[in-house]
Amino acid sequence: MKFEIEVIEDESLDFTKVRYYTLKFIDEEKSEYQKFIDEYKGEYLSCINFLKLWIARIGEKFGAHDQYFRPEDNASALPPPTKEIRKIDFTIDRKNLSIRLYCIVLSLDVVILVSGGIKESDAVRDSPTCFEKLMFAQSISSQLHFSKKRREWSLKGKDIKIKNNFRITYQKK
Amino acid sequence: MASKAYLKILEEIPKEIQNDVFGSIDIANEIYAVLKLKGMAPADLARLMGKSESEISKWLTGLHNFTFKTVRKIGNALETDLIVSKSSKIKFYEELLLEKEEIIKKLKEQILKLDEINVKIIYTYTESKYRPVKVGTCLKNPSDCWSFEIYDEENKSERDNIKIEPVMASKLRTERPEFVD
Repeated sequence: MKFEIEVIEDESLDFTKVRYYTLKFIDEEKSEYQKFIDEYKGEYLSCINFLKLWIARIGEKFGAHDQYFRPEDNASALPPPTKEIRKIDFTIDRKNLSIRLYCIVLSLDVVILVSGGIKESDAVRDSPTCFEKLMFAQSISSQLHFSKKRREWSLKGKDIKIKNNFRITYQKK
Repeated sequence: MASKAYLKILEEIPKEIQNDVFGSIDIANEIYAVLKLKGMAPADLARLMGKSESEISKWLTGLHNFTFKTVRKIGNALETDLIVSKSSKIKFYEELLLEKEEIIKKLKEQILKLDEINVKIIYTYTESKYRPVKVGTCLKNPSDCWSFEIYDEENKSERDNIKIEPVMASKLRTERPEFVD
């Protein structure tokens, strides 16, 4: 069964240059981003802090430019690209780089933080938690793309103007 | 003034981690900015410094722990100061601000002198076909903004390639667009 998803505005993610939105299934209390943070803040606290700092810095100082996001087909991911660093510099805490937070960059001012997981392998499809979240992010991204074509939502600065007929859904696992 | 959200995150995360992450990002961004200004690619910097391209990529990720010596070497290669003291930065921005304020003042005076402003509308379609459109009233004060409502009754599909150019009435050669009240 497909569940409807809301796009949530979160005051704690509203920075000077970027406003981050999160996604929430209507039958659940927590957003998918919050669930991701709660799941990993124990064992992977440093990774979560590392991600939060990047989110804050991009939001406050830089704006959502492409260079700060890993391209993942029609979605994106944080932390920023470090492919080279992982190949040559093993002194960097690899644990920090293994976390992935999938997001959808709508403009320089608006980013939707979806959810993420731990990337345990070189290919995302071999990391079960990560792959599932990537599929989720990609599905939402393509639904947003088509609903934009149908003019069900539009952007005005940092605001997402949503019309009554706007719906996004996903089959929960 | 930093946003509440930003200050909250800075409060939550230990200063040590912040310095580790942000110190390097700032330097990496500075290098990026200088490379862009000079029209150079990271590969050019690698060549100038006799380093491998992968090492330069590593620096630009913002995760490298730069030493002062490395920063100075990069600065020398790019013929610029990557680290500038706070006081000279403030002075530089104050001068820049003053300059911009002067320009804004002059532009405002010019705008006030204009009695009438028309617009030339250039529009193209994704279907590579021209079609008449109605141009709505200006959404904001014309002296501040060139934002108009565009109606296309024949084709409802989205068009994101409309360009609106302000031109003086005397120079307007095209037919005056139809305005809808």
